[in-house]
Amino acid sequence: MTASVAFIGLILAAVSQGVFLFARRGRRDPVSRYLLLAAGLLLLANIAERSVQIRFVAVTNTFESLVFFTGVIALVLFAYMARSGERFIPFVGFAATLVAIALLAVASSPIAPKDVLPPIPALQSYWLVLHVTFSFIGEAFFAVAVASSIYYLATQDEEKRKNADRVTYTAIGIGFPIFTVGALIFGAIWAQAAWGAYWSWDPKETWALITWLTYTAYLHTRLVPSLRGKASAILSIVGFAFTIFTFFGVNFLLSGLHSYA
Amino acid sequence: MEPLKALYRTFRSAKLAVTLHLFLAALAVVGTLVPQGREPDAYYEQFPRFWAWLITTTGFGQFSRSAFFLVPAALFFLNTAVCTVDRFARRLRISAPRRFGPDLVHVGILVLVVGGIVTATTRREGLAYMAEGDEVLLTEEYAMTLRSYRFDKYPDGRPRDWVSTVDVTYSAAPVVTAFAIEVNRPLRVGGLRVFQTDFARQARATLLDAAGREKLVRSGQALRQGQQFLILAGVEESGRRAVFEEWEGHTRKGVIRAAVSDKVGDYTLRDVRELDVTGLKVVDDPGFVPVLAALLLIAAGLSLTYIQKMGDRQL
Repeated sequence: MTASVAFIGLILAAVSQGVFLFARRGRRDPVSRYLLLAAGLLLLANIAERSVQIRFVAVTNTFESLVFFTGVIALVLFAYMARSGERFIPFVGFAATLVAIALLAVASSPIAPKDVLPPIPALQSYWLVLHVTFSFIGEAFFAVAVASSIYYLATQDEEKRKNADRVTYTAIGIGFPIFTVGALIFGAIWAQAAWGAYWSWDPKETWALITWLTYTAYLHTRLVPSLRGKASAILSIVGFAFTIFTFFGVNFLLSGLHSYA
Repeated sequence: MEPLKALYRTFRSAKLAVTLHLFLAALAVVGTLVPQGREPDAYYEQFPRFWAWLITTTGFGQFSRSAFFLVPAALFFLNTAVCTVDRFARRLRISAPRRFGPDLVHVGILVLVVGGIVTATTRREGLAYMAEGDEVLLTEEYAMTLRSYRFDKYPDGRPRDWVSTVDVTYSAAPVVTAFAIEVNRPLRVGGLRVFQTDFARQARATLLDAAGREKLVRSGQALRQGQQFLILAGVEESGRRAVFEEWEGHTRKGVIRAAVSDKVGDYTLRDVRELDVTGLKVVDDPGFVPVLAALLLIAAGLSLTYIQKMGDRQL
């Protein structure tokens, strides 16, 4: 129920952002940030409710992961809107909200069973909880970065490009360390505790590494003037495509230790 | 000296770093698309001839051990090392605020690669399937005995926990008593770690040779009979007869079903049963300590960078 209300909230936020983006240019959207805040809090409340029911932090299946991911994206967007004020790029909010809606739509589809079930033994670890939550918090910032990168490539205005480039860099600058700690560091520690191998070249691990290498390459493009701008924007978009593939593509196309996630 | 300086400039280049990161990422993508660790014949069955040839000759069936991966990985290591030294030296020379977060991350990555090499070259592991009362030798001095094994399920039948309670002795003196090994709760003893990783039903047959000596055979184990092997394949559903497969080389010749007192080759079957066994993985990985140190360095470096950038209002 809470997830459904949050879904409606996200759609209303996207509609509001769309109206102000395309029909009422130049005017500030007064409501979508609060709709995003409400949606994010509702989604985290849904996770909290499920956690109480299973007596463990409910981030142990695809549905819960998607709900958590979407909730964090909504809250990150709210924080960006609240902090940036007039400098916030409306397209970034609109595009990232669409990403959040798409993720929650997948969560509501049959490919993500909604049964409230306690975790199997391998998932009964707080290293797993840290691994999953930190990874998704980092990836939520990548969702903002992909939106600003698309905006960068779409716009011709040099001032707007500069602003979009700054948003992309700050979003990846915040998301990258959180993602690294969550996906690679906590992931390795959990794998070591559960299976006795901190790295197994499992497809999900490898794709997380591919994502990490791509964002690391992005950060290094900032040191090369000729690669700054367009090349780094493309890398940010590719990085987010890899992020999504790591989550969905690996589950459905490649088998491995993470087949439950 | 000039060629050396040029080499140094090449390896400290951020452009090279970008290239190597992306090249390694592209290789890893291919590595996840090619099934790993199969026999060459399997690639010829699954892929067109040219692709199978390419996979088998380049070693991409073992992607992480192929020259295609190891050479750029070595260049990546060199690039990171030179960048780290160069950055650090430049930081010491300038009067601007010193930012050592990225240096810590770079050093962490170097230590991580070293730890990975130590793991790849020295890691040993073994899997022991044990029934209650069984003993295995972990090393020459350490012996582990399974005291009890429990498989807990949720009401819907899904697994809740596997618990193997073990005792460990060192030269026959007890060092660990009744330690419950669970998934995510390994036993650490004598530099080894023992993990709960599997469970199974295992057939066991006790046989007597002509001299009356007992021989215990477990599922999958073989008895040699001249040119032939008799492999214990299981126990019939009735639980009364053991099933042995007769093999000669790679050819299966037939199946023998034997009840207690029946002859099995030169042996006589004395007892047959099927037991619940726990699968315990014993790991010795000297590379994990440097890897853990590397992960801590990377986390510290990232945190420091983050805090300093926030302080500089760059994020």
